[in-house]
Amino acid sequence: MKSGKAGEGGGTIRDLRIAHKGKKATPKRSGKNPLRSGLRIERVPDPNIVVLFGATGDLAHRKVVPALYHLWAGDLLPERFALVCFGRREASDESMRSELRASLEKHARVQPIDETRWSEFASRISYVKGAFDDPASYTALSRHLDAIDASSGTNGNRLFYLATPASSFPEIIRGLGAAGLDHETGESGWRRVVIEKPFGRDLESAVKLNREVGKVFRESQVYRIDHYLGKETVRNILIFRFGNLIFEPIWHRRYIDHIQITVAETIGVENRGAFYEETGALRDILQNHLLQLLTLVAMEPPANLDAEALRDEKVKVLRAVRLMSPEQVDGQVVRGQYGPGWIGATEVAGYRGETAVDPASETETFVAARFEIDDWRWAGVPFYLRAGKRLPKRATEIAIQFKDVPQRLFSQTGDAPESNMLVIRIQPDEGILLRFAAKVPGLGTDVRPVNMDFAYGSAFSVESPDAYETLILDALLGDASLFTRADEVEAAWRIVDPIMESWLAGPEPQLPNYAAGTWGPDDADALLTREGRRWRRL
Amino acid sequence: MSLTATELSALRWKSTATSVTEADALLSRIWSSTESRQQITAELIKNADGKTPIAVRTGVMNLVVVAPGAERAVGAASALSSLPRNPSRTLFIVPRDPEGPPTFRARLEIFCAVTPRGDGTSACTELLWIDASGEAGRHLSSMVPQLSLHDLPTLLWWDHTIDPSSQDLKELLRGVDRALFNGSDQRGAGINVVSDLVKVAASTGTALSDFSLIRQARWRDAVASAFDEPEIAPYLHSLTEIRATYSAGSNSNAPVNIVKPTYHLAWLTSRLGASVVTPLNNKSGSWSGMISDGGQRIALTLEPVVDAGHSGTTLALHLKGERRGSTLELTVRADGATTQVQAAINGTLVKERVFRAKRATDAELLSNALELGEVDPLSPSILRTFVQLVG
Repeated sequence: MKSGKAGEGGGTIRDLRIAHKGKKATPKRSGKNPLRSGLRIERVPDPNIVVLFGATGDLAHRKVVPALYHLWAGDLLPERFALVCFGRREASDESMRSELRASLEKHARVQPIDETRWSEFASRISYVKGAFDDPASYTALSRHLDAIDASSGTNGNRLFYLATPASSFPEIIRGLGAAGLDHETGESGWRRVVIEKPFGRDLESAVKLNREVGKVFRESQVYRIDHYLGKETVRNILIFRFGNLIFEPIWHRRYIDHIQITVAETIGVENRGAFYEETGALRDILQNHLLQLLTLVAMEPPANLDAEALRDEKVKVLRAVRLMSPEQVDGQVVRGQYGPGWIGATEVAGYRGETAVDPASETETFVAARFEIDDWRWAGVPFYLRAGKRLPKRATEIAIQFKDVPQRLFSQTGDAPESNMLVIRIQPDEGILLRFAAKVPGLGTDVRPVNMDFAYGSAFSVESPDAYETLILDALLGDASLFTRADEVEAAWRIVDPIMESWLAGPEPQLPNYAAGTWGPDDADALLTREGRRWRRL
Repeated sequence: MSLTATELSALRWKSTATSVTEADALLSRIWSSTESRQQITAELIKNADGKTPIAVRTGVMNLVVVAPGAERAVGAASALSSLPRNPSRTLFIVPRDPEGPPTFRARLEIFCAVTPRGDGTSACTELLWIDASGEAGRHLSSMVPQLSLHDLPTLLWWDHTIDPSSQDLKELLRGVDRALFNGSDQRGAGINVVSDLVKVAASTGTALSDFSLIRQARWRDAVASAFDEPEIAPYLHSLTEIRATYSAGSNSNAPVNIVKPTYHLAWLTSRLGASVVTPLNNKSGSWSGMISDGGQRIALTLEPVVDAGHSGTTLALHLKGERRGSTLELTVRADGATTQVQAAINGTLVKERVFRAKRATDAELLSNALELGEVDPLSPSILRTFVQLVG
């Protein structure tokens, strides 16, 4: 048989081998910039325009714009970048820049503002006046964005950031869709939308909102932001669990007695009384922050760190949370509202005395709940979640209480060792603490719990970025890992809905039921004490 | 009660020792009992319960600084004092009078700072100032292990000239986890010293980091940023020339250390996945070599420029690429406060950006090096390539 050329279909194995040997070894090349490998910044976003809706609002001024400025000052944004502020009121490019500059003076993480960096950043800011419900405004916006693309080479890549009240989301999404601003075609660049929480008020409204968003944007274009997920310590939960071998084998009902997750605030509702009246602790904290923390603690290892793989596992946890019947809500959920009291040696008003709050308000400022997860890993392990305002101390943490040792060898001394506890402190004083038993030096066998403590502040000299910086950069890079998916939002509401329904149908609550500066209503303690447990002292 | 800055980080204990054993015993005794630990903080405030706060030694690392003189050792200590976290124990070793009698003299100090956790705990760090003369100074590897805290990583900062053929240095490297050095401070062109040191460290399994290499991070950021641009990125694997110009100082006849510009070539070569075809060789002052990126030959040049700058400092990095009849010319420069990138395709400027990236201070470099821990994502591959380029 005549030997043919390799690749022509008639070659022998030998021909193929020879042809293969003759080939020059070409390194595998991906679309990534190999020079970035190992550098401080491994990726930078494509040229892009951020379109900020609600640019004159509090969130934009306190969080979004300072985060964008710090990203710019840290060379984390591409040179071909523009910020387009969209708002209802009359303003010019220059007046908007002045307003944002004034806000940066108050809210920027690093002070003073670097004049050179600010002037570079400011030169990229423009303002478009428009109404969220006016189709012509979107046409004008579209023309403005096209002009920037043409002059600045931003390649049609656009991130629409909705820093507006939730009630405006549907009309903005519709407006963007009607103007074709959502369209991602081969050459138009990417289009993404960032939506701030709350994602609905209940399951029904969340489904409706997701449907509205889904009519215009594909799910892969949607970034639902929960800033808790951008916090360094929260991101570290995954590293801690899946980057270390020693914890995962005991992360199981065989060894864990229960888990407590706490979000405690000392502040009241500040100037957000009207918002809080419509929200309450259940919607504001438990439905999102607390349940997100629960998913990170309880999830199975994802196959990889791809956004979908990660979020698939989180959704599985939410779906496995046992739903409560109205009768169970009474015994497993406690709500509270603060009355007047003292915080840090200062007398403070009760919730009903706050500005823009109904003097007979039934809105809860505290919630504690007991959940169970029905899966093989967690069956029978209670998860106690609590969140409250005007508590004595600001602290967010996850405490994992391990079971007792099977045999108390040292109990004859009267010093039965306390069970092990692992605490992940999210704020303040971020770090991880492991409590274990040690022998007290001496001739006896006295046992005392001691702490092994890791503190972020002293272990690393690198300053953590603000959560918004992390999340906005991720959205610009197209990494949705730390954003909430539509089914995740709905699964969380499915857990919370029966609680709200039960409260609505039940008798009028006796509120206020805890004084400001205390750890919430007595019933919250009873939730644990009746099971022989207690809240960790913070 | 508020504390002044002095109270927050102050000398709490000091002593002297004339032998390694004595120094080790004195320090061990301090931490062995509650009473002795309380003595350290006895002058500090009483906490809310009326108790004296207790001192604990930080659990970070051992740092061994070998410096040619007291002045350099004090400079190193000054850089350390500005760090947000300090090693648990630092040995400042100054080898003196190599021909004199073997002597060991150590000044021992413990500095403490009240931790911000609010329970009055004081975190302490130990400084050992060691003069080692004669044979003792030539056998540092015999004292460092005994004076290092058990089970903590040990970092060697060799702030001295390097003799890669020294058996003592090799033994010292065997006993530490990482070694920091400054290749640009070495004699002559410096590249052979660094290359030999890399080989020794490879044989002892010690991770190496060069301050000169860490310092160049801002250059790397700037070069990489150019290839983020869609129109420039395709040229990355079509480069034909990489040229670095460096300061030869004002005296063109003096030998110039070329470690720093060579690192640029080594970084690019390693990141391109290129292989060295011809190592660098010196022809009438300029150095040239050749690498191959998947068959594409790239000429390497190091070109001295007589100027008033610090001898051996990189002045500019020039990259040239040719693709489908078009030519890319990329130039990166740096000064004290910025790096500047300029790229042109067929003579037309397509990118011009100034990055606010100031030259790192010694304290920043040290902090950076300490934070790298045992994982330095860049040095191993760059140093391996460096050795190949030196040949």
